[in-house]
Amino acid sequence: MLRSLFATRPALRQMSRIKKFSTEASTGGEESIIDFVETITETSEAQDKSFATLLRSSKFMQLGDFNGRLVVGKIVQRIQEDVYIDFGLKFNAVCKVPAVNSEAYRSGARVLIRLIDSELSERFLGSRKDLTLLEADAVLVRLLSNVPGSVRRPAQQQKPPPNVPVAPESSPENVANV
Amino acid sequence: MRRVVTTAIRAERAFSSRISALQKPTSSSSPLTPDRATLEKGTVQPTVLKPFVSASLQHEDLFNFEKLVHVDEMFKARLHYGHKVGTVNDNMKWALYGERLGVCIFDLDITKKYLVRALNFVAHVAMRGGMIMFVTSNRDTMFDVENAAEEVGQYSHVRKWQSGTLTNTRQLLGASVRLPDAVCFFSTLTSLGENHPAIVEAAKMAIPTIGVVDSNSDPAYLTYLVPANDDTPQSIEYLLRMFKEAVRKGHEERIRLQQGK
Repeated sequence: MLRSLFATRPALRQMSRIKKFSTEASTGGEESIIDFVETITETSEAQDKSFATLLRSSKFMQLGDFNGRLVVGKIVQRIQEDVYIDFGLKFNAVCKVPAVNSEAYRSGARVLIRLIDSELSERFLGSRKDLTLLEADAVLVRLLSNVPGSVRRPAQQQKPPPNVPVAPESSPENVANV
Repeated sequence: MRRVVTTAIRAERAFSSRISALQKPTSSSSPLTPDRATLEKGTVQPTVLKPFVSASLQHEDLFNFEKLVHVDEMFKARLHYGHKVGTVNDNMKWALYGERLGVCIFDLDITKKYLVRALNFVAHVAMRGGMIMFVTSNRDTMFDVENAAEEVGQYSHVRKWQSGTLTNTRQLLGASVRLPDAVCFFSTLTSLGENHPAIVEAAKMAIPTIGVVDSNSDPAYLTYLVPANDDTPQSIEYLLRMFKEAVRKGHEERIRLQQGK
């Protein structure tokens, strides 16, 4: 019984992957805790892939130079007017909340950000190593979807999952329509 | 789970029988404890003491962590992200796969090898009833580390380290206390970028240490290294899960051995 379940699950995944190939890397981040619990018991589909292959096909590589790229992030924390946005890399981006519709920027909401630097680090005069601020630099572009609990804008369900850097486009309108 | 442990035990038994078969011809000359000359030689060349170590300790991966640690899981948990290349410590370059547009990337095959080694050590300590202390100075993950230690019945230290907590217990606590048998660091740097003071203290007290070292960390004075991302909560969550599992496996094995006797 269990064994058959394990056998069918990768097959189902394969099918779903064919349907929407762009969501391949969607399992990084917050919502993947459930995935983790699964993968510790079952054999994962990507298990036989080598690290080099995983890295080669990752969004991190596909994104190329980060500077000015639009990526989707998820707010993980809000402290007064600062939001901490997790977009799938090492550090969170810290942005100021805009004055308009300020209440919607709560933890759990998905936002579009323009990434400037994945880690703020600078070498000061006379030091041999960079000093790092342990945060990413980004500009908040706009809200993508609200916190799942809130009732506003229920139509926006088929958005790309959080923490997946979307393909770079010329204008933010295009990206939002993906 | 049980099956894994039993297979590991069976492998160990096969191994120990093989070892004893190897030792049979020389067993008349080398008893269970090394003689004085061998001990003296061991201070220079520790490998001469290897035949006197029990077979379970000679096994590379007694608890079968090779099957538990997957590269793709580590990849999903973002263990491969290092810092910017300008912050890299020269002594951490061995663990790096390379650099991508200024960002260091860890080679997860190396990380896996070292993580399995560290987990094996933790499980062995737990199997022998050892006390393990989880230490971090990262504020994002301190509660996770505290909870993880509590879940498996071990100890944690995530606040400001008072100097002498390990080396000067008599003065600080007014009584002689039991020190931890192993210290596990989930971040080896303080927020100011300095080394955690407990690393040197543990080394002074001859306590073996396990350290999650990022590309900007200093691996000196740490016994077991785990080269991985120590800044992202997801990464620490994954590592905590692995270390909890190691403690649990060691503890289960301990209970099983006690009941067996």
